[in-house]
Amino acid sequence: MSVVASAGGADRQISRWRGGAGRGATPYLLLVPGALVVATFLGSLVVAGGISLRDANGALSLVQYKRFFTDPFYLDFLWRSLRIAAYSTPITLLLGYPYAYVMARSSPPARLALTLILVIQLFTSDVVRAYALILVFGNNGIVNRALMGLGLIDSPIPLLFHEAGVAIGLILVPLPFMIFPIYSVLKNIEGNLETAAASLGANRARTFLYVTLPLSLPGILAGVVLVFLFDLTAYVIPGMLGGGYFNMIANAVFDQAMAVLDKRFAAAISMSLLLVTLAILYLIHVIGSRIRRAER
Amino acid sequence: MKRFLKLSLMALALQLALDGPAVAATPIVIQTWGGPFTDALNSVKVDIEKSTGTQIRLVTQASSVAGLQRLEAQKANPQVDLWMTADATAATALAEGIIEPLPKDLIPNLKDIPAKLVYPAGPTIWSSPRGMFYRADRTPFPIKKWEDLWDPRLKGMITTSIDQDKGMFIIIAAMLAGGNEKNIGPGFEKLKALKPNLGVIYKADAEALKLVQAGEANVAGYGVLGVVYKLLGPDSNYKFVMPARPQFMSVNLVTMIKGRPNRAEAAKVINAILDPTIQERIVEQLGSIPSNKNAKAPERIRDVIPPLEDLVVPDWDYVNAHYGEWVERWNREIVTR
Repeated sequence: MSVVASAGGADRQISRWRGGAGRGATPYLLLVPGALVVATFLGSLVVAGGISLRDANGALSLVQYKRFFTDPFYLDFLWRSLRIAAYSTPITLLLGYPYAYVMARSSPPARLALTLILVIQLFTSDVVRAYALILVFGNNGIVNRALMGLGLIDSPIPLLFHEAGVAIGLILVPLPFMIFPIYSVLKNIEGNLETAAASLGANRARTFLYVTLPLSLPGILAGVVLVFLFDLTAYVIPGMLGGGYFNMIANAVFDQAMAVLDKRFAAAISMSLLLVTLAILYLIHVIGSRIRRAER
Repeated sequence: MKRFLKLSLMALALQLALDGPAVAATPIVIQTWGGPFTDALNSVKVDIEKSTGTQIRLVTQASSVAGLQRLEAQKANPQVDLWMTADATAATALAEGIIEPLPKDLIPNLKDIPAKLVYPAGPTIWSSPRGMFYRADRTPFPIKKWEDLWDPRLKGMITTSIDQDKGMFIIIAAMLAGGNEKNIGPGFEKLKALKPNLGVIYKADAEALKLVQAGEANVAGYGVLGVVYKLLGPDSNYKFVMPARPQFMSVNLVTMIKGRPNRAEAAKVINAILDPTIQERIVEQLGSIPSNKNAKAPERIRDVIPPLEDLVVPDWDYVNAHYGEWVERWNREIVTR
């Protein structure tokens, strides 16, 4: 009774908003905070874009972009960022999917524990997580000490301070960004569908391949986009786990902006990265749309 | 009850009027580095506020360059009164018109700062010795001079940086090879020979210590004394060496930002920071050398610092103009496997 009454009250409140004196203004007022965020973001882009179109003397020019796209040294930062994001993301998916699956299918207390593990990781700064990985995978880290303790190796394997070290970080650190979107889709898949597939003779693997996996594709796509972008634009992880020997494009931007103080070139690299990112997002969107169309 | 409350409030007001620091309402904003620098300044803040009658607010910067970028962004409406920065960055800020010359007549303690430590941008507050630090228990021999870094026994053990002090490590390498900041080529050639010994490159000074503590490097080939200072001691495995030549100290200045209203109060705060007692208390925490000739360096670093006979002061205007080229060359030629 009280629920009905309260629902009725909410309806009346909504209809008051819709029909009241502030009918026209309220939705627009509610848009103000979002509009401010968008305006700040777009304003920064316009400023960065403007700076990137200036030469050393401040005249309008494409010279910064020419420098970036014609110098193999700087293009390599973009290439290595794309390359490492391209192979780290699927590995993160392979690790994250089973975790999300177990989370979605486990009892509430177990799910809470699994969620807490991720949330703690999510709220820990990248610097701390990167340092933790140094303590695990470094020359003097847990992995190397364990292998040496077992007599499997005589001297530490250099796991960090090169591309593989950065990849380890880029696979493990963004795991929550992969797991949460997949989990949110998996937990909403009707259990009856899997039961129906089983009752029609499908074994567990077949049920997973033909029922669960296709239905979880939206979560996979969302996770892939988030992790790919995290990897592509990573700064702290390559900065710490690359040890100066495997810098990615965000590190190149930082160096130009903060060490060399060449803001024009830094802006040109940033804008180029933004364009590449938008192109990739569009590509993923097209692929996603085709998959959804094929499913129908 | 009401009467009791009234009396209590009056007593409280009287107490605040008698005991509270007599400080101006508008605070003097000091932009400085975080961590130990903020801690050190916080430890003397109350005394400075009492002696100057001026309230102080500290804002932190990730680095001198990051601080400069913030001040550039605020140039039309500056929010900082005093800026602590390295001499190299101060030169850039002076050229950009961000800082203004000090009102020397309002800073009597300037008379006790050696003339060569008073720069056009502002006076030195302390100097931070640079050298090498290492773990004696993990290093095959005691390191004494810069050339020791090239010893093949240190293969893969060294961490160093180009970001620290605007490429000073390259300048030192150049000087060892007969060059200097204006003839940097020999430095890069010398560094190419060091590549087998380099294990990891650090960006921020504290990272060097973290890497040595974690066992990822045993030697910080270019290190800040202040970072490792509290770990030093006769029984400690951590050793700091400031080689006899070339010697370098990062000079930290306090500068006055142009366009702020509280010039006289800001000058009073600078004067208080240059006071020998305050200086001694600050450098005790930072492991640095005070600029006031009447203040003493901390006891713990006196044995570590040799006579300063070959102190290098690079031409920072030249370094600033060429640093971009050096960074590019460093990335192309040195940090490659």
